[in-house]
Parts: sequence; structure tokens; C-alpha cells
Amino acid sequence: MSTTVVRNKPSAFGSFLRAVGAIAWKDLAAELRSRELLSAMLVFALLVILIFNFALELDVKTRATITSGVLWVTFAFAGTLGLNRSMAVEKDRGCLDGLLLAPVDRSAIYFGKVISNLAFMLIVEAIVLPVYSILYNTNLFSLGLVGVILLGSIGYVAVGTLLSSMAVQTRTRDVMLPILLFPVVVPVLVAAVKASSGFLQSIPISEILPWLNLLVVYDIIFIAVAFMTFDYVVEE
Amino acid sequence: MTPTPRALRVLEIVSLLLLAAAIWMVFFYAPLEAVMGAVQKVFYFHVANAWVGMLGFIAAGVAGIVYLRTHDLKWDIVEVAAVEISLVFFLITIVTGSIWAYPVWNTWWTWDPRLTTAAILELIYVAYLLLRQGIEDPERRARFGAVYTLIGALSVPLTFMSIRLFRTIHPVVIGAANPGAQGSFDMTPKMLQTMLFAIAVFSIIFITLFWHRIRFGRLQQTVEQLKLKLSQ
Amino acid sequence: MSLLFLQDPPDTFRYFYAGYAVIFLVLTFYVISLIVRWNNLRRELDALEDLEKESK
Repeated sequence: MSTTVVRNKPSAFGSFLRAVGAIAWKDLAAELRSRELLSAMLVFALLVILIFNFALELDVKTRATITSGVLWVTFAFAGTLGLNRSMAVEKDRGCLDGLLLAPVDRSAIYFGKVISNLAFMLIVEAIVLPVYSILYNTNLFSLGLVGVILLGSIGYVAVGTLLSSMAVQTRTRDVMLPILLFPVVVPVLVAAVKASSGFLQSIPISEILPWLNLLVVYDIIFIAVAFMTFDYVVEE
Repeated sequence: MTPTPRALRVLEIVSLLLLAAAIWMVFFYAPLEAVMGAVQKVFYFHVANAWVGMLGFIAAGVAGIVYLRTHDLKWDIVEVAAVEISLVFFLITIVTGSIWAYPVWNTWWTWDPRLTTAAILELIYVAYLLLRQGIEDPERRARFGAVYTLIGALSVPLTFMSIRLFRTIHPVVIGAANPGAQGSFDMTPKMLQTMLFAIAVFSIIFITLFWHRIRFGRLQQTVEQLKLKLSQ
Repeated sequence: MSLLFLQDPPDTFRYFYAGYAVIFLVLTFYVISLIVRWNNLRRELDALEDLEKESK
């Protein structure tokens, strides 16, 4: 009987997860300290809601139908801000190059960034919802709505992270991201707005289901495609 | 740069002749439709352009994937050519669709799934061209172009489905009961022949223009490489 | 046969002509743009080739 100690080989998947976690945590920790990105996104989102208040003079009835649209437009714009800043900081501080040199699978970088970008977007959304509820005296607390916001944000950030990695390497940088992102993210916005409004107006679940299906399908397809092509976008 | 190949010259002439024939068919062979009148005839070239636009769209998607696998820049040239040409054909499709819509449904724009998806596709094409413009390195430009083509191409069917779903749940306020069915007219055999012929003609025009645009892309590549060489 | 036509088809010839005008304008414009771009590029290539010869 051998008495040699057998060391467990670190599982590849384990180290992958650890890399993803490390990359996501790097951004989250940095943000916890400075709170630059979050405050920018939040202020921007609240300003957008303010502008909507004046741009669309709404009575209580019309507002009910428009709420989900206003919310998602706000999220889309604030999301763009977050995605842009997140990648720009990465590039400017040379972090991206550093990460690329590390013996880490490129897709770990992708997932790490997606998680941190998603976290920022969700935090902003979590604050915007109650603020909107108060400002317009509507009850937005619905579990279904939270689910839709989650699914929609995942799809948005999955594609947005890939595209912002590209945009940050072009001459026009910040301007490029919305131009690239918005036409491609239409299915998410359409489905999210319809599903949100469905939950807010308590429409039977059977009618909301097709929209939720669309969101899930989009999320799965684009997470897969984005992580497979991320390599091509960051290689030197 | 080699002079225009004989085959391409022949294609040019054939394209022009066939186009003339198609126009004759539209103006004189196809009958006048009862409900909409003459404007219905716009449909023949409208459908032909949409069909050819789709060809370009598929060609761009395939070229993108092949480029990512082979890293051979000639596929990048094919991809840009396909995007540019598809953009032109879909532009014609959208504008003729709009011109057809006005006398028939009294509106310049119908938010129907096909027209709306075509418009979004045009925006994706423009975004693609802008993206390329902002990148100097040809290899990176090709890589990014291919990735965006892939993302764009995949999003289009989903966009179409989402808008169609949107429309079945919220029926169109504007006009006709079934705008999606190309204005719901019955096609007589002469109309069918005209339409099929138009589709065939535009397919040939597509090949001619595609070929020319690819040659232009190769010339661009030659110039760029020479510039790079001289600047060293 | 004329029972199929309850009334004369509406006069939409204007739109018919407009539609085909657009098709030709756009196609022609694109072909011309290709020709112009090709000529410009050709000129650029010739100039660069001259430069290359000189630098040798």
C-alpha cells in the first residue's frame, strides 16, 4: 500500500471559476471604494426619469401603460454609461493587457466582466424602481417585474460587454457602443417592456410567457455567442 | 490590378438586358390590379430587392464565420462587399415598401415586422460600416467586423419574431386587416411570372454588383498594403 | 368578366412611377459611387507606385 500523498490536481473548472470570481471582485471592490461608476449611472438614470416627466405629460391612466417603456429606456441608457466606463477604465489603466497576459482563459475575463457589469446595472435598477414608485405614486413591487428586469439585464449586459470591448478599441470609443448595441438588443427591449408592462398590469401569466421565453432564448444564444467570440475581440 | 474579366463584362451586359426585359414585363405584361391600381406593380421589384438583400445578408454572415475560422483576409473583403450591397438592396426595399404603403393604407410607414426588421437591419449595417471606419489595423478591423456580423445576423431573426409577437398581441391600428400578406391580392399567372422573373433578374444584378464590389475591395487592400510598406 | 370589377381600379400611377424612379435612382447612384471610388483609388495606387519606384 502506497503511502505517497496524492495531491489533488486543481480542477480546470475550479480555477476557471476562481478566475471569473477574481475578475468580477476586482471591479466590484474598486467600485465599493470609489463609487464613481455607480453614482454616475444613478444620477444619470434619475435625470432621465426627470426629463421623461417633462417630456411626456402623463395623466395617471396613460402613465400605467408607459411606465415599463420609460423604465427600460432609462435602464438602457444608464446601462450604456456603465458598460462604457467599465471597459474604458480597464483599457486606460492597462488592466486589460495585464489580464490578457495572465494564464487565464479569455472567457473567464468575459464572464468576470459580465458579472460586474450586471451587478452595477442591477444595483442602479434596484434604486431606480423605488424612486420611480415614489415619484409617480405607483406600486412597482412585483416579483414578476424583478424577474423580467433580471432576464433583460442579463441579455443586455451579455451583448454589451462584448460590444464595449470592441468599441473601446476604436477611434470613436464611447459613441460607438450605443450605435453597435441598440439595433442588436431590440428583441430584449421589446420583450422586456411587454413583459414588464404585463406584470405591472396583472395580465394573465399565459400572455406574458411568450415574452419571457423570448428573453430566455435571447440570453442563452447571446451569452454563448459572446463568450465564444470574446477571444477574437481581445487578442492582440 | 487586373483589367475587368471578360465574364464580368458579359454579366454587366446581360444584367442590363435582363433588367430592361423585366421593366418591360412590369410595365406591359403584368396586368393592372383591381383593388390597388398601378402601384401594386411596385411589388415586383420590391420583393426582388428584398430577396436579393437577404442573399447579401446570408453571404455576409457566412463570410464572417469563415473569416474567423481561416483568418484569410479575402473573406473580409467578401463580407464588406456583401454588407454594402445588401444595404443598398434593402434600402430600395424599404423605400418602395413605403411608397406602396401610402396609396394602399394611407400611411408612409407601417410598423409591420418585415419593414421594421429591415429598417433595424439597415441600422446594423451602418453600425458595421462605422465600426470598420474607426479601426486602422486591417486584421483587427476584419476580426471585429466578423464578430459584429455574427452578432447582428443572429439578432435579426429574434428581432423579427419579437416584433411579430408584438403585432399579434396588438393588432395594427392602421388600415388593412392583413398587411403582412403583401397587401392581400390574388396573383394571376402573369403576375407570378413577372415576379419570378424580377427575382431572377435581380439575382443576376446582385452577382454582377457583388463581383465588382469584391474587386474594389481587393484594390483597396492592395493600396493599403502598399501604403503600409512605404511608411516603413 | 366586367362583373369582377365593381369599379375602375384607382389611379395610383403616380406612386408606381415614383417607386420605379427610386429603384433606378438608388441603383444608378450606387453604381456611380463605385465607379468614382474606383477611379480615385486607381489614381492613389498610381501615385503610390510612382513613390515606390522613386524610393528604390
